[in-house]
Amino acid sequence: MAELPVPIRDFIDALTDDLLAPAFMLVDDEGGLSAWGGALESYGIAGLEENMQVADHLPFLVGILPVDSGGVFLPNVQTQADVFADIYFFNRPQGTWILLLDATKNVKTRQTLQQRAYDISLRAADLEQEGKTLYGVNTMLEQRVSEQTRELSETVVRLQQELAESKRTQRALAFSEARFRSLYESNMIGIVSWTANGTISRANDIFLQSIGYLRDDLARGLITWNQISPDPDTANREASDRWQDTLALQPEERDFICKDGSRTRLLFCAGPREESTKQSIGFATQPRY
Amino acid sequence: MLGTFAVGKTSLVRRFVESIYSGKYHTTVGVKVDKKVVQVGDQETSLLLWDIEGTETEHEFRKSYLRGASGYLLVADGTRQDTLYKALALQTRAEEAVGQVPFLLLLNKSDLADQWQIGPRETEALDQKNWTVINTSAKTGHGVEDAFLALAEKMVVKTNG
Repeated sequence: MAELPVPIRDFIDALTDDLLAPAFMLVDDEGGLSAWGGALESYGIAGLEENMQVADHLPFLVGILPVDSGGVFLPNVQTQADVFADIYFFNRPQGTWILLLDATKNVKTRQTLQQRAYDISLRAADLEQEGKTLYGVNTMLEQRVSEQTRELSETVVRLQQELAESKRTQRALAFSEARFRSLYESNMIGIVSWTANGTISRANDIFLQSIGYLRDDLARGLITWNQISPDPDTANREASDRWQDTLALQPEERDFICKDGSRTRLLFCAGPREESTKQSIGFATQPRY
Repeated sequence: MLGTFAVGKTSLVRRFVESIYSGKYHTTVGVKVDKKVVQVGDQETSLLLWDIEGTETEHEFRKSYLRGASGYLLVADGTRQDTLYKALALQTRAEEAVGQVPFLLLLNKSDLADQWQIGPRETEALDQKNWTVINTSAKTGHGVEDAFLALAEKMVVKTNG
């Protein structure tokens, strides 16, 4: 070490005393305390006695002693609330010296910086996690949008197909209606529509004429199915029951009661016209003998 | 207490020694030594708990803090997967310093189940190591007493031969 003038050495000693609060203990090979001094009380160390087993008194010494020739350094040991010490252990012929130097100022400075650094690090980890979560949610949303777009596209195609089908059906229905109207109005055969409660909703002139009624009678509600269709005999009751199920009557010669009470026999068959209102449509013609 | 920063080492010690918990994170600089007497079987045992500062990496870890240790608790934060891998690396460093002494792995913050990041792959890897792993929560106290007592038992068994 460089030779330093006494005033400098004294100044350094005073500075060390002020800043580092040096304290020491000397421990023999058996762990017994043989000497101590310095600012031990500032580290909360008191009540020491000669030859006492110092490790029993100071927990941070347990397991540390004896030290090997290289010595041991324990930085920043909290000795009491808010007091930290750098602790050096080194062997000399007298035994193991334990030197404590105040590290509180350094610890506080480091603590502030370290707290800030770790807080930032934790915040960064949180942000990374949030980023991963958002990425996951975004991916899921993109998938859902893609799936819903595909479903929407399929629905549009299906609706277009249904619309085309509906148009075809409407055209077919209109054609069918036209043909029916033509048949109805031609009066080539008698046509009558009736419902389960006996109301005759429609009948063409030839049918009405076959049983002696006029169109005006129909308009005034003077004609009902039960009125013109006589009580079925046993055989026809079965047909009547079938009609309840199917709204259809097989082709047969069937008696009808005319307006004047007489009976006329017509070749007659019927089929369903509208299921919801239990409406049938019947076709009648004069039997050929 | 070994583990990277902010995994809850200080909180676990405070929960075990003083039965208190604070949710605010205060970084530890250096080391704080606490003492607690526990009953292991019919034997009273003094546990000297060295709450050692966490580090970013295992290379920054100061081995002198482990001098004379009879055992250690490796602590990881179950909500931060990387802390588990850092704990594994620290275990290697610890074994270099003190040899094969008893230790347990604590997966802390088990109260934050919805943020848990220890999945089947990590669990399977730990199973293969045949380590004792305990889920703990310094906040609720779940598993804390069990963990320290389990380590004390292991250390007593090893000491008694």
